[in-house]
Amino acid sequence: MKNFSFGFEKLKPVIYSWLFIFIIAVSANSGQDLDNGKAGRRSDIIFQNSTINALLEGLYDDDVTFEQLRKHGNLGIGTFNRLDGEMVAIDGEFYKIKAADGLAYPVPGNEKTPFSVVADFSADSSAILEKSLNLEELLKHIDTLLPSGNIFYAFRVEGKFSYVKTRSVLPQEKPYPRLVEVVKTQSVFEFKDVEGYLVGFWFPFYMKDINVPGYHFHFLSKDKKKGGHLLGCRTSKIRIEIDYISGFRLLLPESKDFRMMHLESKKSELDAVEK
Amino acid sequence: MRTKDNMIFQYSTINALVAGIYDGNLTIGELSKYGNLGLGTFNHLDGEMVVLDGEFYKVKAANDPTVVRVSPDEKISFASVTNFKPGGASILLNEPFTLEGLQKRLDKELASVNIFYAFRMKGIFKSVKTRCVPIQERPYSRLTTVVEHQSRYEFKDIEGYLVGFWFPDYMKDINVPGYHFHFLSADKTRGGHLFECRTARLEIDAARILGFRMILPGSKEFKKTNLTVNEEELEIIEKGKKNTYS
Repeated sequence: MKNFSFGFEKLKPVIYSWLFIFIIAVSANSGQDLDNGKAGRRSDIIFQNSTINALLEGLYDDDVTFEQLRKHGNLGIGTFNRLDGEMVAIDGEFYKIKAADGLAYPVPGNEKTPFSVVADFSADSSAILEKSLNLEELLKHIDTLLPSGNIFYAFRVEGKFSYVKTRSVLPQEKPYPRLVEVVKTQSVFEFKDVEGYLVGFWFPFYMKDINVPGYHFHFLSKDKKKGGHLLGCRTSKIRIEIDYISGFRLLLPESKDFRMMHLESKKSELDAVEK
Repeated sequence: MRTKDNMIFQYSTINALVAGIYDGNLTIGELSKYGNLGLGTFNHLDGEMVVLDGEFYKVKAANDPTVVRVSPDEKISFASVTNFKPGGASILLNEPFTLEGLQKRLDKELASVNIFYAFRMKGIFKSVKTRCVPIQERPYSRLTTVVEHQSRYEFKDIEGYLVGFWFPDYMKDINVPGYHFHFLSADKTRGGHLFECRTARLEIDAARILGFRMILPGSKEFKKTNLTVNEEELEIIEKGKKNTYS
C-alpha cells in the first residue's frame, strides 16, 4: 500500500471515512500492488545478516558494519560482535544497550554486527491503545491487527508504559559459549513509568530457522538513554504502527566459522533465549 | 566475483506451492531482472521452468513433451534464479554417475552445507528421467495430489543441461533443501524436473552464494492459506517418492 502514500498526503484534508473506504479498496487489490510495484521497492524489504540458528550456536562475529547495515533500513534490532549488548535502531539512529549498565549508546559506523534485522519503516496501519496490558495481552491485541500469518511485519510502537522489563547480554570471549548459556548471565533491567519505543518484527513460523518466529521486540526509552531486549511490559497509552512487508533479504556470513558450524533447529532453546 | 555479491532471488515459497498456490503476479520480464539461471513453474502450474543463459524455457506436460520459450508477460507462481557467476574452474566428470552418485560427488565440492549453491552442468547422458506437472484448473489440488498425474519421461543418449540449486536444511520451509535440478536438452526440445539420470560425461560449473532475496506473493490466497507442509510431502513431490497417503 505504500505506493499510495502520496495519495494519502493529498487526501488528508478530506473526510476520514472516505480515506477508510479507500484503504479497504486498496487492501482488496494488494496482490497486484505487492508483486508489480511495492515488493520491488527498497521500502518493502527486511534485510538480515546471518541466521538466528547461527547466533544460537555461538556465531557472535560477522563482518557487516553498521555503516553498511544502515543502508538497508532505518529501524530494527540485533546485536554486536562478541554479543556486546542489544541493538535497537529507530528513525535511522542506531543504539547499543550495554549489559553492564542498561544504558543506550550511539553506535559508531565501523562497529560490526553478527546478527541484525532492519527495514526502512513506512507504516501501512496504525492504532492507538489506551489500555493497561501486559506483554502477553499486548501481543494478543497486535495479533488482531495483522491481516495474515504468512507475511512479515515491522513495528514501531511509541508511548507511555507503566512498566518495562528488559535484558541485555555481556560481551563474550572466545571460545564462545552457546547463546542459551550466555543468557544465564544476562542483566535484567526494570523501568517504571517510562516513555519510549518498542521496535521489532513478526516473522511467520516457516522462517523459524532463520529468524525468531512470531514477535521480537527491543525497547528504547524516549530520551534514548536506556533499553534492551523486551522481556515484559505494561502499557498505559501507546501508538502501534505496523509495516506490512513481503520482501526478505538474507546475507550469510562469509566466515569459515559459519561455513563449518552445525546448524540445526532448536525451538526450545530459542524460547529459552528470547523469552 | 566475491561469493558475497552472488544472490539467489526467489518468488513465493516452496510450502506455498505445495499448499496449492499456483498463481502469482510476478512476470517473467520482472524475474529476468534478477537472474539468468534457475528453475521454477508458471501460473496454473503450467509446466516446469528452466532458465539457462538468460533464456526462459517452459517444459510442458503432454504425451510428447514440448519445450517453448516463455514470453516476458507470462506470470509465475514459484521460481528461484541467480545471475550465475561460477567460482573457480569447471569440474569435468568423464566416468558415469547416477543422480545419487552425482550428488555424492557434488557433496565433496561444497565448501559448506550452510550456504547456497547454483549449478550449471552440461553433458552427455546415457539416460535422463524427468517429470512434468500438468496445467491445473481451479479449485486447485495440493501439489502432492497433482504429481499423481504428472507426466514422466525418459530420454536415452541425450546431450543437455542440468540447472539447479543446493539449499541448506534450514531453508526447508522456503525452498527445496538439498539439490534440486531441472533438465533441458542441448537442442532445447526436451526437459523437465530431474528424477534420475546416468551421465556419460559432465562438465560442472558451480557458484557459491551468500545472498538470498525473496518476494512473497501479494495475493489474498497466499495470505490466507495454511502453509504447513511435512517433509514426506516434499519427498513425494521432488523425488518422485510414492505417495503413501492415497
